[in-house]
Amino acid sequence: MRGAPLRRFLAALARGLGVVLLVAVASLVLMHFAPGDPLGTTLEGANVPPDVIAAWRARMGADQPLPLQVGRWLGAAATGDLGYSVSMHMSVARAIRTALPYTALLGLVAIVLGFAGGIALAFAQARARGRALDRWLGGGALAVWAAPEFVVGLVLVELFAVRLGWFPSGGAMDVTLGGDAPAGVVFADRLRHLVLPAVTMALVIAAQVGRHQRVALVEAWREPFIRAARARGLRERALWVHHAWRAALGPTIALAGLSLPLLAGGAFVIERIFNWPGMGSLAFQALADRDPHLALGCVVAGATLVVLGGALADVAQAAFDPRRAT
Amino acid sequence: MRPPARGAAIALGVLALLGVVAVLGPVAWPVDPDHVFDAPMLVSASPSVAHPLGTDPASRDVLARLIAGARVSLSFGLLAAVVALGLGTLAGLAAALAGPRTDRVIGALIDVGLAVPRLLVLIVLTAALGRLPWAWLAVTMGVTGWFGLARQVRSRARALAAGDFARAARALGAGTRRLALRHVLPNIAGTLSAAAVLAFAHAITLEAALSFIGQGVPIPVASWGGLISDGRAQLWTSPWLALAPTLALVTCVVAAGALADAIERASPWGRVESAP
Repeated sequence: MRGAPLRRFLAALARGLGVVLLVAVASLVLMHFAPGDPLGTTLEGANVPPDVIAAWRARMGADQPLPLQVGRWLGAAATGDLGYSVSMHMSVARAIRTALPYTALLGLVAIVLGFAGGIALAFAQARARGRALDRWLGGGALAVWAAPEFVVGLVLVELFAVRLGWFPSGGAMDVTLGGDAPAGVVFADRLRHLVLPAVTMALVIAAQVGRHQRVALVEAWREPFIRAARARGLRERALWVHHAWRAALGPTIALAGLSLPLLAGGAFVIERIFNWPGMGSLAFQALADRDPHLALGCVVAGATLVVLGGALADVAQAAFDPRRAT
Repeated sequence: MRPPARGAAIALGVLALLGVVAVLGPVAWPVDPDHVFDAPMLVSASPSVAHPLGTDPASRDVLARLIAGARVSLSFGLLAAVVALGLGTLAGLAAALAGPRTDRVIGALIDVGLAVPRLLVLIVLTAALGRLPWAWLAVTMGVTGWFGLARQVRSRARALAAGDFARAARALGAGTRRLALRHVLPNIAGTLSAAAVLAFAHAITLEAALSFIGQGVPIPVASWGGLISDGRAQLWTSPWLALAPTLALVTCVVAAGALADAIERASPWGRVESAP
């Protein structure tokens, strides 16, 4: 049954491609009926002759009937051309290529930190289940989960950037740092900028992961196979890690799949707080400048990652869960 | 009482208390939340007897605005949760019971809805529709927030419809509607109530996020999220401005989360997925 996971993944991917197509078509139709213009706010207030505007609109295909526009966009998108962003003065594909690595870096660090923290939290809680430590940790996680993420971010900024001055309050790099700065200094600078947004995001993720993982661990602990393993003489630690955790990993993997879109624009608010030049900021700019091609590109890129995350999580869940192994 | 029941009772008590504050607050503290007291002199004043939570930069009473915010935020969450619950239940039941073609259409709709970040959709919609009054914003929030709920209802209803008692009901001549309303729905009531409570909490938090971006409940109407955003510039100089609404919001969402947890633990089917 070696091929089964791959086949499963491809099937999920094929379904996902259909979903992305539907998202793109729905967005194009919405865009067509929403007020606004493919030229965005660039020409607002500028004294541009109407025939020039008409020529630009024609060049961008905005004067054509809707089905033709949709067809043209899809055809171009298939070749990697997502249109032209008026506000960025570059192709949408290039704008996304510039922003995506920042979001991916932030998301990856935050997801790794967040899941590690959340799983550690869940283990601490599950082993102390019913005791005061469990309740205190659970209460803390619940409070972080309940607080809007911008509150978490703002508190960290005020504390560590404004008050203590340990970390910069925003941006992804020190722009005054010259191009001739040594690599070590550049690296340290990037790292310092990464800390606060990554920790904010990781806290939010850890609170959610911890809540899910604790329940799953405690449930798994009651299963008969734990008693059987204990009867075979396994140590407490091995029981938790090798037996209970493995059975409890399913929902966490599903959650990891759901959090993959954070790599491509889910961290909208956090990117805004820290002025992080990623996909969230790009999408925000697209909306602020009413730049429909850019907005569409962001939505489609986001949807693609959601679908990819779902497919990966589905396969991983099946591969890790001993009860679902074929 | 068993622990889940005690937790649920405390959480319900906290939510009820917040509801009482929202309903009776203006009677107990009859101050107009929009009244400007003394614009140049009484700006961002610290808490005092006359203004227990101080005043904001526009010299309005923070306690009165907090109570007004409770009315708006709680109604906002309720309205959004009711819309999401209604749409999600309807779509989920229809997908599970009304035949394969309906299932395919609704299934695709759910996949599409879940594939786009909700905050992004909300921002696009508020940008396209202009600033919405808070009730319409809440409805929009519900309309964009039923997909996860529908998926849960669908999978649970599908499992139930394949079960023995559903087959027996069919054999006794029950139609799809009777099967859905009398047999499936009562069996998923626990899942539904937990999901609705979470939807309520999510709507309030999301409104706060929208307020932060500047697309929330429009001024001068006070919502907890709006109050937090208004107060965040003075976080260290006048912390009461942001602190009071933050505490109110976090208390409310924690209580809702604990209530949902308790419902899930009391129900025999395990956890409800919370929408991302």
